[in-house]
Amino acid sequence: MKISAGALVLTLLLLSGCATTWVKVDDSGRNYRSEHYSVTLPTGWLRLESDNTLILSRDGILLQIISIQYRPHENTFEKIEKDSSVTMLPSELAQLTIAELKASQDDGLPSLEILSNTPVELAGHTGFDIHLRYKTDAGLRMDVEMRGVVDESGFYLLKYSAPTLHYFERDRQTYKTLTESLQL
Amino acid sequence: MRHVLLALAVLLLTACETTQIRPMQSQEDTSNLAAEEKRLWHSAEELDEQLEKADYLYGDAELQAYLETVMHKLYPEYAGAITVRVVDSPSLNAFALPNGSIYINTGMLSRLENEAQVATVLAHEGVHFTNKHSWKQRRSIKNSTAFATGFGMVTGIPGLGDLISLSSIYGYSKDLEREADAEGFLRLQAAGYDVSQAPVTFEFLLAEVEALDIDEPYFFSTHPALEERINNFNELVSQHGTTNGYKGTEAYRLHTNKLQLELLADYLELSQHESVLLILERQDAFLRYPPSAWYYLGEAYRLRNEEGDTERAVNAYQTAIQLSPEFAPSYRALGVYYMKNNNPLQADNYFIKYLELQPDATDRDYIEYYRASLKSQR
Amino acid sequence: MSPLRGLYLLLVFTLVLSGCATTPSAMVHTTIRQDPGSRPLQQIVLLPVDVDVYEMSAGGVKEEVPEWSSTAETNIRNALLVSKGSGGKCCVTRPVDTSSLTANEREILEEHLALFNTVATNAVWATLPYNAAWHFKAEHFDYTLGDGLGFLKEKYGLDAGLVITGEDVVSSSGRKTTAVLGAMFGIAIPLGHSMLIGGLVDFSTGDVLWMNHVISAAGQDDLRDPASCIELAKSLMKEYPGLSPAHGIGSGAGY
Repeated sequence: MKISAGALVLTLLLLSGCATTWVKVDDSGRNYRSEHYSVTLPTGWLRLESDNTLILSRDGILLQIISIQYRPHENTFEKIEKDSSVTMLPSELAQLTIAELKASQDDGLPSLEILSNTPVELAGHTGFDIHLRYKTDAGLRMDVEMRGVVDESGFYLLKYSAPTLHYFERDRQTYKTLTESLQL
Repeated sequence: MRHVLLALAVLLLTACETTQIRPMQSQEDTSNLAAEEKRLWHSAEELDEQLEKADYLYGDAELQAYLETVMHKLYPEYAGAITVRVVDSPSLNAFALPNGSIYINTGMLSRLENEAQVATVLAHEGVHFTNKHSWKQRRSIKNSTAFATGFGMVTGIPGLGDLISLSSIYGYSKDLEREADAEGFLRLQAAGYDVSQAPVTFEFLLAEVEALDIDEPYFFSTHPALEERINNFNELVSQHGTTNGYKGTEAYRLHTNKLQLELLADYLELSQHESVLLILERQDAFLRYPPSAWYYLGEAYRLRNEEGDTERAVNAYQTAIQLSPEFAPSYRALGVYYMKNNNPLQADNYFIKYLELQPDATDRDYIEYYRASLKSQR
Repeated sequence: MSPLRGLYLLLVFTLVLSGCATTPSAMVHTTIRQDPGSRPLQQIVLLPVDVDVYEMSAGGVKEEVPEWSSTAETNIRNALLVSKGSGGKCCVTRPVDTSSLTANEREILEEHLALFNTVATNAVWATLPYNAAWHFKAEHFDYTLGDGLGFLKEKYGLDAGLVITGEDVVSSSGRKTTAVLGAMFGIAIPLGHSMLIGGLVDFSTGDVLWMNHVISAAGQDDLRDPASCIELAKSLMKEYPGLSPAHGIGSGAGY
């Protein structure tokens, strides 16, 4: 996947303390509540809030990253210029999410492989659970799991990304536990 | 003011490098590279490796061999020096690296209609290699950046280290592109191809650019440049006369047919319904595409979702079932339609048929979930 | 483009922030900090050194010069190979012969090296000034690549691998002229840098036992020069856990 070195560095710098503040999650800070949802965060991880996105990592954002994003139904998928809606089927939502992911990369992610794509219960609604894999320019495999759901208000995307080697499976259950705690 | 003075001082005191570079004459010239050229080749080789490592390539040995045969017809004296590889990407792109590696996207291949058209593209790219355009362009950039440094413009020049950008996004200079068109045209003629297909290739792709309002990195650089090139080719055709040259429609279709449905699926995966409509709403579309393509047309209408599109989509799915009854996705599409329109019985029938035809469907879990919710409605 | 491009840019950023200082910043695995003898290593191999040397033109265009890169890699390799310690103890380093690996094993090794690059970039990111919340990752250094390289221990008897990558940007004469002229007009023109990144990976566990980087501004070091490489390597190998103080850098027989 072609992420320019410049874009990577900019992302890393923006996600360092220059721009915002990382906070360690302790027992008292586990219950996170935003305007649209609440979740239980894993202790010992660090969290960062940015726009409508909550970001979590344990060892650093290049080694594992969980993100929770809320998007209203209008212009939900900016790159492909599509809206979501509460009546959308989970398979349709999954299709648009994959399209948005591909469209967000200059090269369309030719190495992307969908490993599984199934319905899942999230916060009392039926959403999707996609597990995919792609390769970076250096030949490093990356696994991504995305769970998404809609309600009357908007679209919720919970994403987990980590290198396939060693890291992805190691914290996958932590991600799943977090998603199961989601309340809208 | 001090920037101006610095720029002038740099201009006077640092040597500008010549962009007068002698083209190659044959494969032997690839063994006599200047030091600066070797650096470019080294970067190109690294990029070749990277593209392979990152799974960018389409990986169809037969298709690659066919394209290399076409290349060999155009550049027989460079046998072994030029390789053609296919990139698995729906975008309309082709590029040549300085070391003779030529890449063409599946998106481009699926749009072209015959061998003469792909030969037009490959002939053009081949000239970028034989005439060392990467090197010329690099020298030109180095000269202009040396001057620009004086104005503090040391950064902000995109893609200098990116050979793909150099050759496709920003395009070569107009002069180099014209050179590639003119000399490529002569190669096309010498190889016995129907040269009237050269402007047709570009006209066809201009229609795509206009219809889809494409502004992303593109083989042909900018829209106005495309129109100019069509005019150039028409001039060349009238100067050199049309021939009864080889079109190679059947041979081309034999090797590229499977790309067509794959590309339609790729476009739908990217939610690019306009591209699908552009292809399948053409009058002669179903002369080229198999009957199952009616399903993709239906999906494109569904995604566009304008007034009347739902009805168009349903008609398209039904046509697909009529003409290609073993093609499973059409049944799924109708199942979803009837489910959304409160006809659980019809919906379930279509879902059952879909799973019968495609028992190992990757979305089986979704279909079973939909069937379970339909059951609870009945 | 080198896969470590992002890391190099981060390091150049830190160089700019630190005002051209060349302070090494070694990180040692937490288990070794607690007990230096806890990771006995006999056979350490030097994995293929990956150093790119670029020439920067008057206008700032960078081009890799493959011959210079090859020279730099040879210089670094020679600077790092040390002679056998007394009693056969660590630190014995020899270059690994990747041609003896199967194609599948080579692919596994390459992917793990790509992971090392990601770990290294992450490790540097976590030490950035203004990233205080992540500084604990340097204080409690426990990165790993996982146990996927265990075959190197089981099949080939190798305990650990030294990973060395680097980059040198050498200014052309035109660039240097531009910089001199710039200085006359009060305009700063960047001239390049030299940098090395090193890491020691335990093949059985995948733990990164040690990591360090050195970076210097243009003119201070030159990876094409063997003497300069020895000095830079000495700086890099500070706090390297496998280094026998009696032998040091550059005293070895090479290969």
